[in-house]
Amino acid sequence: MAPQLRILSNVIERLKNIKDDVTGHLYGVMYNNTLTVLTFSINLTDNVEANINHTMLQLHMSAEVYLCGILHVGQCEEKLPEMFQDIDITDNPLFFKYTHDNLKTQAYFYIHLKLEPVNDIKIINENDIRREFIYIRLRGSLPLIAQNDNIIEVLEESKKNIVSGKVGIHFPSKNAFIFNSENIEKDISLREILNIFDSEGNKNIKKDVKPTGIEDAVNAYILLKISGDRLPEENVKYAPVLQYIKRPFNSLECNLFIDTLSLVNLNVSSADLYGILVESMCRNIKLIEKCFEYQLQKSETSIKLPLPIHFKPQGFGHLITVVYPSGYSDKETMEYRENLHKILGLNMTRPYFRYGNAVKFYNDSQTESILINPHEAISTNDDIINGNRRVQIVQGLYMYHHYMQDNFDDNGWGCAYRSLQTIISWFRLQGYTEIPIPSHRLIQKCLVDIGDKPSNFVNSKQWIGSTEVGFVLESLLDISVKVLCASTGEEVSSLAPNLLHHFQTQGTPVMIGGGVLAHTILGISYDQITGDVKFLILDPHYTGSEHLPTIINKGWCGWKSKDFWKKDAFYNMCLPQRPVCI
Amino acid sequence: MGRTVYAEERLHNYLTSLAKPDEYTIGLIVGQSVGQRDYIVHLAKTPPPLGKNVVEETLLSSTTEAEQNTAVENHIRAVKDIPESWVADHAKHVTRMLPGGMRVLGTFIVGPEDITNNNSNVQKLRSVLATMQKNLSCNKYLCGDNNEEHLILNLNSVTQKYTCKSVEIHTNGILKPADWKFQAKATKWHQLEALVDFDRLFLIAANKDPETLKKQLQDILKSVSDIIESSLIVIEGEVRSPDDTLELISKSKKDEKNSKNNEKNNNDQSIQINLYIPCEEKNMNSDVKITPCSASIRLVGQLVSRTFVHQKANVEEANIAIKQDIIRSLASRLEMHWDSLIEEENGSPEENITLHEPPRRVLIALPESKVTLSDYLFPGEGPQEALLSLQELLDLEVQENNVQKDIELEADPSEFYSQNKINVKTTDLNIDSSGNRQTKIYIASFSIAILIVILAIIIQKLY
Repeated sequence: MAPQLRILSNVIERLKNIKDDVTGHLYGVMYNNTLTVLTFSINLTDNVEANINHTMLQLHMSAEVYLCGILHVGQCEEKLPEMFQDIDITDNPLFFKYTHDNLKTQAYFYIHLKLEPVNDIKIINENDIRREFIYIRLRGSLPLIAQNDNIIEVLEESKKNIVSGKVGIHFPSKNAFIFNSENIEKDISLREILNIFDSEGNKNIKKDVKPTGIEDAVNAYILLKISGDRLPEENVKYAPVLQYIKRPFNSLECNLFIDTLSLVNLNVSSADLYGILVESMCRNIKLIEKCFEYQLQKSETSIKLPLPIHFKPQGFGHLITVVYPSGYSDKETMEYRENLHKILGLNMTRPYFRYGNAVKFYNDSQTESILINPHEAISTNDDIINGNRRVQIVQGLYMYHHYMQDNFDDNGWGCAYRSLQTIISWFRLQGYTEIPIPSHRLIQKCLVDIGDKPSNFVNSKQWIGSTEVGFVLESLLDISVKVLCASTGEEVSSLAPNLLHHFQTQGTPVMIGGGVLAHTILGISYDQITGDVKFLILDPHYTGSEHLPTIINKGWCGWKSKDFWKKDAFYNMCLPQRPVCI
Repeated sequence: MGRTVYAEERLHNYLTSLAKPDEYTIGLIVGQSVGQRDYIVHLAKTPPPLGKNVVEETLLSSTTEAEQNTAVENHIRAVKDIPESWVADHAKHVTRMLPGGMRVLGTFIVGPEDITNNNSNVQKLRSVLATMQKNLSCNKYLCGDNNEEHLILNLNSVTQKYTCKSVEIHTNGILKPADWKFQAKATKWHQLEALVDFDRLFLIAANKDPETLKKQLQDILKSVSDIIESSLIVIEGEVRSPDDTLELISKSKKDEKNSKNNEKNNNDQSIQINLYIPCEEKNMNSDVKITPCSASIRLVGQLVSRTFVHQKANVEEANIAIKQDIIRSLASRLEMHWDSLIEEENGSPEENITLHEPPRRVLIALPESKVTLSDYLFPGEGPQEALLSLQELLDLEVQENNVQKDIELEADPSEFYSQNKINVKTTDLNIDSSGNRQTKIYIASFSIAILIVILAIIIQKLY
C-alpha cells in the first residue's frame, strides 16, 4: 500500500524563496505508513569546497527524521532511479516537484520501479505535528581518553558500544528507565512511560498558555552499562588484568557532551524508542567526530571540545543540531554556517546559526525567567487580522523587559531603558550580538562616554528618550537607527505605512517616546479601506511578576487603537536597522 | 531486645567437635547482619599461629609444613594467650573470601569454662575484636568494616552449653545477651549474579615522579570503586524501588518461567543484575586536557560477582551487597597481586608492555548450602590451591569438583603483546622460588618477538 503523504506548511513557504531549476532532497518522519515531510535541502552545485552534503545533513536532523525523497524546483532533469540512490530508509522514496508559477506541487512515490502520483497531499502545520510527536532531548557526558590523537578511533569504539546496547536511558520527569531488553512482553508506549494523556479536550485553555520562543522537549539522560549479560558457558571471558604499556605519548582527556534530539511519535513502543535514542546518539557522535576531524586537519590550533547546539531557523518547523568547537567565535564558525545556509536554502543576509540563535528549552537551568515573545499568546480576532488589513509584526524573538526587573527599582523613570533592553534582547536572540543586556547604569555610562551626557548622569534617575536609545544602540551594537517623528498622537497613525515597511524589511522592535512615556511597538495592523490603524504594544511600565496570563489579560502586551497615543504629545520613534550579515 | 542469631545445625556439630578438655579454640563467625538479626553461614576456626616470623604467605604454604608445626606447639592454653593480630589477620583473609553483604560478625571461642563470666576474659575478647575491627576498617575497599555490634559465641567444652553475647567495641559497652538459635532448616538465600566488564584506561603523567606499581594500582582501585559506588543497579532489567523485596522479584521471575514452560532454566534461580553509570552533566567543564604521559595502564576483563542476601532482604540491601562484592573482589585481587610482586620493574627499556595478571576468582559452595565463597587463583594455579586455602582459612574440607573454577578465565597473554607492531620480548620477572604463588609478569620490549611469547606459554604449561 502506498504511504499517506503529509507536508509541513513551512516546507511550502520556504520553497517560495528557492530559485528555479534547483534540485534537492526531502527529509521526513515515517510513522504508521504516513510520511510527513518536514524539511528539504538544496543540492549545492559549487560543492567542491563545501563540507556538507545531503547525507551529512541528515546527521543534523533529529533521530527519526530521515532522507526520504527528491525535490525538484522548476524544470529539472529526472534521472530514474539513480536519483534515489542515497535514500535507504524506505523502498518507496518520494519525488516532489514544485513550480513557482501558480505554486504547483506534484508528488510521486516510486513504487515497483514506477512513479505513482500521490493525489491526496495533506498540508499540516507545526501544531499538528506536536499533537503526535514529541522531541526527546537526550544528554550525557561521556568521559573520553585518547592517546596520540586517536580520538576518532576512540569515538568509533564508544559508538560501537552504544550500538551494541551498552546504554540505558533515564527520564527524570517520571523517573522512568528504558534498557536494551529482550523482554518484549513488558513493552509499553512512550505515552505510558511519560504518562502523557490526550489533551485534545482542553488544549484551548488560555490560562495554561506556555510562553513561546522556548522549545518543549522531554529530558532524558544517558546511562552507561558496565556489566555484561549472562553468557553461555563457552563464552566465559577472562578475568580482569592490567596491561601496562610504557611509552611516551600525549593523552587527551575530556568529557564528551552528548546533546541530541529525537522526534518521536507518542505511540512508539519502548523497544523502538530505545533504538531511536541509540540512533540519535550515533548521529550526535558522528557530528562530534566531524568536528574533531575538522580541527585535526587545521593542526595549528589546539583541540576544542565539540559542543552540540540546537537551532530552529525562523520559518522552520523543526529543530536542527549543529556542533561547534567550544569557544569558537561566530567569526570562526562563519564558513560552516555559510554552508548550512546554502544547503538549507536560507538567505545570506541574516544569521540563523550563531550562538545567540540557539534554541532555548524548558526546564533548562540556563533559560532566563524573563518572558520571550509574550505577544504570541494573544488570541487575535477579526479587528486585527482580516482580508482588508495589512499586518506586520516583529520578526524573531525578544524578551519582555519592564519595570522592577533584576531587583532594580526604576518605577517612574526607567521605561525607555527597559524598552532599549527589549531591543537589545532582540539583537541577542537573533544572534547579532553576544553582549549582555546592559543595566541602567551601563546605559547611562555609555551616554556619558560618547559625550552626550555629563558625568553626574551616571546613577541618576533621569529619563532618556528615543534619541538616547538610538545613540546607545549605535554605540553598543554598532548598528544604525532610523528616526520617525510625529508632532501629535493623531499623527502617529499616519506613519503606519512607514511602520509596515519597517516590520516587513527590518522586523526589529521599535521604541517610541512621547510626553513622559516610552513604549515598544511590536507590530502594526492597517486597514487599507478604512485607514484604521492598530498598534501591537509592549508596555515597559508593568511592575508585576513574569506571569503571562496577567500580562496578556491586563493588556500590558496587546493591540491598541490610535487613541492610545496622547493627542497633545510629541512622539519620536527609534527604528533599529538590521545589519546584513550571517 | 537483644540480637537474634540464626545458624544452621551443622555449625553446632562443628562447634562441638572443636571442644578439647584443656585448651581453647578461637574462630570467626561469618554471616550477614540485618538490623537486630544475624544469619550465620559459617564458623571458621583460626588456624594456630605457626611461629614468630610468620608472614601471610606461609599461612597458605604446604600442608605438611603446617601440620608439623601444629603438632608440636601453639595450643592456646588460656584466653589471655589468644594472639590478637593473628586473629585479625585471619579475619582479613576470610573477608576476602566472602561474598558482598557478608562479614566477619564476631568471634567464637570454645574452651573449658564460661568465658564471658570472667571480666579479664571479656576484656581480652573485646581487645581481639577491636584489633580485628581496626585491621578491617583501615582497608575500606575490602568492605569488611563492622561498625555495629560484634558477636561473641562461647561453647563451654565441659558443660557443652553455649552462650552468645553482643558487644559494641567502640562505646566500650557492656556485653548484651543475644539469642543464638541453631536451626534444623537451612536459611534461604537469594542469589544475585552480575558480570562486570572492565575496560578503562589510566594514564601516568610524564612530569610526575614515578610511583610504585602498588600506589598506581591503589589509585585504580579507588577510581573503580567510586564508579561502582555511583552506579545504578538494575535487577532483572528493571530499576526497583529500594523497599521492594527480592522475594517479590524472584516470585515473578518464577511465574514467568512457568508460564513459558521453560523447564531447562528452572534449576537456575539466580537474579540477574546489571550496573549502569549515570552520566548526567554534573560539571559543564568543556576543557580538553592534553597531558604528556610516560605510560598507561589498561584495566580490562570481566569480574564475575555472585552475592547472597537473606530471604527477606529488600532491594536496597541487595544493592549494597552487590557493590560490596564487586569492590571487595577487585580489591582482593589487586592486593594479592601487589603483595606477590617481588620487585618493581625498574630500568626496563623505554618502550615495553607488561601484563599484570591478578588472581582470578573461583567459587566454592559451602556444604549443604548454595552460598558460595571465593578464592583467588594466580595464573597456573589449579583448584587444589583453592581447597588448600579453604581448609586453612575456613577449616572446610571440600571436594575438588565443588570448586567452580571456570567462571573467569585466565587471560591469553599473547593477545596483549600483539599491539602496535612493537617487538615483544617477555621475561618472567617473578617466579616465587617456593613455586606456590606464581605471578607471571611479562615484559615486552624491542627484541625477538612473539616466538618468545610462545616459549613462555610453554614454560608456564610445564609448571
